[in-house]
Amino acid sequence: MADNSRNMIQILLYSTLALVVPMVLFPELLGTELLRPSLINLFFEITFYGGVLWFFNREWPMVQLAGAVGLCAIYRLILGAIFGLLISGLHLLDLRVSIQLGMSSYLPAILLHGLSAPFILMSLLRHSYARPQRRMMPQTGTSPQMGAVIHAVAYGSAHATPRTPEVASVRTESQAVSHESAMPFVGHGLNGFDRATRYIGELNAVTLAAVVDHEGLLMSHFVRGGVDAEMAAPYAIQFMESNKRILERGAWGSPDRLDMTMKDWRVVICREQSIALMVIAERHGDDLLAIRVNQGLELIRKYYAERYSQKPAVNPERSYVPST
Amino acid sequence: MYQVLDELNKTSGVTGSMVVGNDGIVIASDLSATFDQETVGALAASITSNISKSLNRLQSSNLRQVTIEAENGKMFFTDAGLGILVVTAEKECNIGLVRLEIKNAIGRLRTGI
Repeated sequence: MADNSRNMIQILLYSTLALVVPMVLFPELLGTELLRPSLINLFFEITFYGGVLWFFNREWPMVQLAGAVGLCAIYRLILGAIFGLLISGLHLLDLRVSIQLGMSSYLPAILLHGLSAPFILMSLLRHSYARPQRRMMPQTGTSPQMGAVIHAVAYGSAHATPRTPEVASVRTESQAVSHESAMPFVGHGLNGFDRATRYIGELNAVTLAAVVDHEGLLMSHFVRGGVDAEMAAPYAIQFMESNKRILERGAWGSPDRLDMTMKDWRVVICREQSIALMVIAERHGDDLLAIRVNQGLELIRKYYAERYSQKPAVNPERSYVPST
Repeated sequence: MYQVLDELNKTSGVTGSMVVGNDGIVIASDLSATFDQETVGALAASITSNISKSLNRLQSSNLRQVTIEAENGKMFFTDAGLGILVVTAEKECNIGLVRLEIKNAIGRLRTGI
């Protein structure tokens, strides 16, 4: 959208320049000799457009090239008509004569308009031709999830084997780095764990947000900076398990949440069913961390209950659509 | 030291507090009768030692405070210089307020008031 408006502004600016220059400068500098309209001129003009557009965009197919040439010709004629209208007002000429001058008879203006037309429209044409190709990319290319698995296998990651198809999508660090760039697309093709970790990771203070299963393996993670998520993940379970034994001896029950504060860092580990959420953040980074962690945990809780619930899936639509 | 612990215990939600040496020996205690101070002391030393070891493996050290939310309440373990300040609290306590009071208490313990 922003590209389109930028292109349109650019075209308007150059078109104004192309209109004003022949109107003000050329009659004085080059005289007002007339050129008779002819089909040969039109042929040369179209050939020129075709040549220029083909030279700069060789990847365009013939149909697109022909369309672009047609667009340039129409643009040049419209520019000529506007130019005619303007000179009819400026030099008090008959409207019909002035439009004929602008469109086909006044050589300096026609040359300037003709020479500049393909260059003025180039960015717009490229943008409009590129857009449909971009839309097609997800259909023709490898999906991001599959790409992550391929990357993991190619680089020998021990965690390439998918536990579930959704979990497999988040098992490489390379993709975790791309989480940041893919932030605007939150919700598209992500599972609940991904959404939770990304949501927590939106805080700048967070360097790691990871969902870890009961075996200490990563299910989903968000990484910022050089934290090794694979290495940190087992400790989420270890912290919980080792302290659980001690706390149970003291009749405190099993721990639900562990919050460790160090000189510069803060580590929060929360337990939900058989999985754990581990968040590593800068200590003084953000006061909203606790809120984000709670909300992230709520996302995980809901997703876990929905996806891995022990309840038999009988008429699941009833839980979403109230009875009428 | 007992005065500091006594004031700390007046905080809403706090059920008891004590200072334990890094080896688990109780230095000063003002816990409620429901807890055995020796057990809590050993538990605190064990937990902080466990966590410190794990953090060392993660190349992190300088553990300042650990908060554990368990089924039956919350526990705060804070490095107090001479040992660990242990604070036990109710499950629904105001964590922010308790931490603030702990911070004040630590300051006073360090300065020896």
